[in-house]
Amino acid sequence: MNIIHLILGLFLAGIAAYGIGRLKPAAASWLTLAASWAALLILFLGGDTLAGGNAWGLLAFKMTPLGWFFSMTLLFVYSTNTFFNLSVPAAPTRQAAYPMLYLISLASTIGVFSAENWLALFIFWEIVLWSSTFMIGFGKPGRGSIIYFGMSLLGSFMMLFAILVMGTAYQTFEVKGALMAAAQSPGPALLVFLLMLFSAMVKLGITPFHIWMPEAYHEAPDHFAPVLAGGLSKLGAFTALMVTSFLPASTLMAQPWQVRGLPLLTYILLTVSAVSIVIGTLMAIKQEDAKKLLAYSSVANSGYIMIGMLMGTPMSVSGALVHLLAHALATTVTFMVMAAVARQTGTTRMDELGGLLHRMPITFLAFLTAILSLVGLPPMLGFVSKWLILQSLASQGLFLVAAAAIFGSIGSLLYAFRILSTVFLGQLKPKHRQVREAPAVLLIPLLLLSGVTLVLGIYPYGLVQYTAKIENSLGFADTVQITGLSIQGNNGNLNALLIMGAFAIGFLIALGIFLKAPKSRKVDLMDTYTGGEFIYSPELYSYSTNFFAPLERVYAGLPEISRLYEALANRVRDLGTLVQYLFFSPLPSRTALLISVVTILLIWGEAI
Amino acid sequence: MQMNPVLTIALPLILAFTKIMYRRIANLFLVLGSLLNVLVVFFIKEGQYLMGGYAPPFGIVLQVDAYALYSLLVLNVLFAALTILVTKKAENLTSSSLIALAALNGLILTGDLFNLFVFLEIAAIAAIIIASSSKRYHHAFHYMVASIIGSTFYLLGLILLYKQYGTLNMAKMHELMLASPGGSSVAVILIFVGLAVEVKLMPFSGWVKGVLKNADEWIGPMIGAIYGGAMMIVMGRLFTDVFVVSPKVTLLLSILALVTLVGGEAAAYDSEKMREILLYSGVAQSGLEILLILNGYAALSFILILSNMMAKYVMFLLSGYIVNAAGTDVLGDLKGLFRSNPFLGFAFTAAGLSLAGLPLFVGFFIKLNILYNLMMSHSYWLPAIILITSLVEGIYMLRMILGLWQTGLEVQETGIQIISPSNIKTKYAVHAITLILSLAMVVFGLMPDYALDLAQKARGNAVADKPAMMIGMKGGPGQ
Amino acid sequence: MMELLSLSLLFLGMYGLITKHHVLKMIVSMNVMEIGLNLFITSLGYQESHLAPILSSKFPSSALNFVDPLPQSLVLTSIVIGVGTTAVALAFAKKIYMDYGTLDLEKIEGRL
Repeated sequence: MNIIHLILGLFLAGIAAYGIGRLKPAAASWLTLAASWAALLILFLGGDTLAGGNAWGLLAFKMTPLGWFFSMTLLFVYSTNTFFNLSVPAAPTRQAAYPMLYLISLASTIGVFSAENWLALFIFWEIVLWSSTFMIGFGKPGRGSIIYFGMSLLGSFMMLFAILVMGTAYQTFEVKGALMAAAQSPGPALLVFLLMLFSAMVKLGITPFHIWMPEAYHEAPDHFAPVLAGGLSKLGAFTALMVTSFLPASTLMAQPWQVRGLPLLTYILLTVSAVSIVIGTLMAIKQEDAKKLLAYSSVANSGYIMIGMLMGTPMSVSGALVHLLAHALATTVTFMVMAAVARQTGTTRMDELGGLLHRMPITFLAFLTAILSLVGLPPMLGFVSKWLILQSLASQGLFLVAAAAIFGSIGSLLYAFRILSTVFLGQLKPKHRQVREAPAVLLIPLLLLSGVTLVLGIYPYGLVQYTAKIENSLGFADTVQITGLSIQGNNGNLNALLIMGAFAIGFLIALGIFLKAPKSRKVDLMDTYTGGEFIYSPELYSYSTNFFAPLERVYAGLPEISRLYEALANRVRDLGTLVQYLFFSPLPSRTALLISVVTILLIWGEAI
Repeated sequence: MQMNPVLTIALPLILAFTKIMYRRIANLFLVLGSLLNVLVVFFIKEGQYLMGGYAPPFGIVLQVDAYALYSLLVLNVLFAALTILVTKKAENLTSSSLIALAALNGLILTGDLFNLFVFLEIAAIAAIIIASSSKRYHHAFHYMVASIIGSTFYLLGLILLYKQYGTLNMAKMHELMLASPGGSSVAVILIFVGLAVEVKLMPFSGWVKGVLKNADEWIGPMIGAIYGGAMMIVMGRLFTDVFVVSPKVTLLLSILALVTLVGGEAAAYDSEKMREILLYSGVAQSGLEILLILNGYAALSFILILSNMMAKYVMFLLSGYIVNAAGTDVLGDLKGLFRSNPFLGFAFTAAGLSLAGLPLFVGFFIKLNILYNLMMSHSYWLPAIILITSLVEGIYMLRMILGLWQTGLEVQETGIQIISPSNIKTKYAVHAITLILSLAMVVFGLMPDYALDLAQKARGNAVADKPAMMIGMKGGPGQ
Repeated sequence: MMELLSLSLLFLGMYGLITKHHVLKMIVSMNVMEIGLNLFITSLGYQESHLAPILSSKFPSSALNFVDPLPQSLVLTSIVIGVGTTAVALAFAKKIYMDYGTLDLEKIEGRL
């Protein structure tokens, strides 16, 4: 069994799923589940020495530690999400293509991560692009899928340009070889570097390329959004890490203008990522729809990942990789929870929800774990990654970027608390009294993923060791240090077990106080009156509407970047109208005129 | 058994005129003619065929090389498929369609420049009559005016060349032009303009909008796909094998082609109707093809022409049927159409994705190789422009396709069947043809070396060709 | 001289096509353009004091100085093609009149 068999097997399973799905849709979902879990198992057992392969000479595959890390993350997300496919209540004929596209995109992501030359990588990248576009189209109608497609295509074409520049300038398409050749003779290497990083930024959703995230995540069907958010954006991180490891910015510019020891170019990109964190956080705070809020939180978290990769120190790269995994797990859980909530209640708008803690306790527990991880609180995995990144920022002395990162952390507390409290805490709306817990088949992936987050948060050493191995394979001189049970940093060490211990002690103390203290009396939402009148509409009295109004007022009037893209699209439209008016008039005399004039111009142009 | 290629010209012509005696079975003549043509094409061998026994350069020859053979095959097969599908509609058009078939075959086969002019005129008249079958005579008249101006310019240019070089035979003309190329530029420009009108290059393409925006399932594939492809193949031959174009003229004409590419894609982006989008996309693609031909990438342009021909054929054919069924081609009114017609939707989607250049389809490898070969000559801005226009094309193509599928849970199915279930024969025929063609695009997309070998064989040894090491071929770069 | 005159006929025809929007006037312009072209072609074959390319009792040998006969045969073909296209164009004119009641293209395009 080698990689080609794996990918091909998944492709064929996808086509089979289409055929089966037209006859018996439920069977197709089971097939999808079986196929993805089988692939996960194969990859897990094969480890990062899974045999590569070569098809038609062009598609060459090799599994590297980095590739294995990414593939496992993606496979885990895809496989746990297949449980949600089982519970989709939809008419059969419409959804028959969904399992096929699901498995095709899964196979292609594995192809991206294990490709040995850039052309194969690009081919699979594009397949992921169009298959995920069609899957987004299965959700709510709107512009989300085409905005996603347009932005991603922009990113892919930038990458294609860079790949071809490398191929023609350095005569090779091999992934590492081309980058290393570019590092040695930087002619067009600067262009390559910028284009590749821009395309990674498009995929990750970093400002100013982030506009597709809220629209796409909002309109994607609820059972696909976890994969889209948790998995597919990580493809950008893969290429970004390859580029920054093998083609560091320090070799690209003749004059080494440096800011705090980093090349100027890197510093500019770091600032852009920091801006992304700030914008993502601020936009998330003012959202009313849960999925859009989570989308903006992805924008912010992608900024962290990018910062970690750009800094290039062993600890920061390790932090980026761990954050990538933490974010993938946490986002997947949050989107899955929103999917479960939407399935049970029919909405994802936060001002229509509330108090679901009482009805869906297990879902709440999973959501709590994920939110804690997103914010970066112990004992979850998100804490470890944020610690690593902030440590490296501090030791490099980048205080502005660190300030943005900390602002992002605190701000994420704001919107995380908002979504948690408005959806689960607070008071139950009367119409949701009959809502029941999500079915067991949906709870399995939730518990699995949050369990992994918790366990890795308590014991991250295996994970961090693996990132050290990845750094080795990427050619780093030294890697992140782990001595015993603590991860070494410049300003202190991280001993996760110790922290967990402290947390557990604190938790037990609080638990004791809670149990001993007198119980509070539950009051219904509608059990109140104002000024002698009685109230009838629960929506107005939910405390989640306009939650952060004072803060939002501060930045309410600022323009959005999406207007820039709309303006660009309108200019293209105007050009089209002009062309239609000038050159496609219905009168033959205009055509005759154009023919004569252009011929005269051509002849005259030739003569001079 | 070897057959003379003149049969592909003569057979349809004879059938066109004898059909007048058998009006009631006219359709049969059309189908028969095209099928016989396909049969003949399978038995043609490469070589030079004399007409009337006069040796070149005084006599007219038909030259069959790999280029002509592949073009003939694709042309005749597509034509035959169209006649099988649309027999009912073509009642009034059998004569002109057969004449069109004969003329298109002649255009590709001929080795004499004036013979080409004659076939050009015949093909144009046949196309004009076919275009007029949509009952919009002023559009057909517009086409006629443009076409006549075009052929006038062509003949003018040709006669200037004759005056300078004294021959009308293509091979001899090429020899003589290579020897003393000076002073022929005005003539070459005139010939280019004359053909550019037929080929839909901007700004000579004013007629395209009128003729194709109301095209039905016969006119659309015929004029949008088959004619465009055949004329472009002729352009390819002329400007690679015959004429020697000075670098300054190449630059000027390439600017025209670039304007076409950019303008066509912008115009398509602006459109809201399916047929308009397709026709503007065709205009833009012809700009790209001319650009490649003029700058020596003949093999790549050949395969691009063939793939575009097949994709546009499928899309125009389906759009004709869609308009018949739904009464409109405004995309806003057609949302969700493909959910009731998934197989036809798949064919349309495959053709559209291949045009947009996405992998798993052959259009991807073609686009990749175009960009790669252009960059090998170290020009960065031209691939950048092509990529930007491809971005625009991808967006509007996907916007159209996604709207047609519109599989969201909240949108109702339109319930419109593209081909009414009562018309079983047409239904199966259309399904079969479109699915075969789109599967061909997938198959070639998965095994690009076959397609690229074909192109290399057809045009690889042309004189002005750049050495095309193609990605996807055995031993090509990236292996 | 002859060439210039015939070219000017061609340009006249083009001018007619550019400026006129009455269908019959455009058809006439197309014909004028084609006539100009044909004359131009024939005039190109002409050489001073050469003979007409006809074998007769007075000039029996084909080795004598004849005017180039090839352009004249091209012109024959071109004239025939011109006749064909004019016929089709006139049929279109009739149909346009039947559909719209006018032959003025500007009025028709306004009606669409």
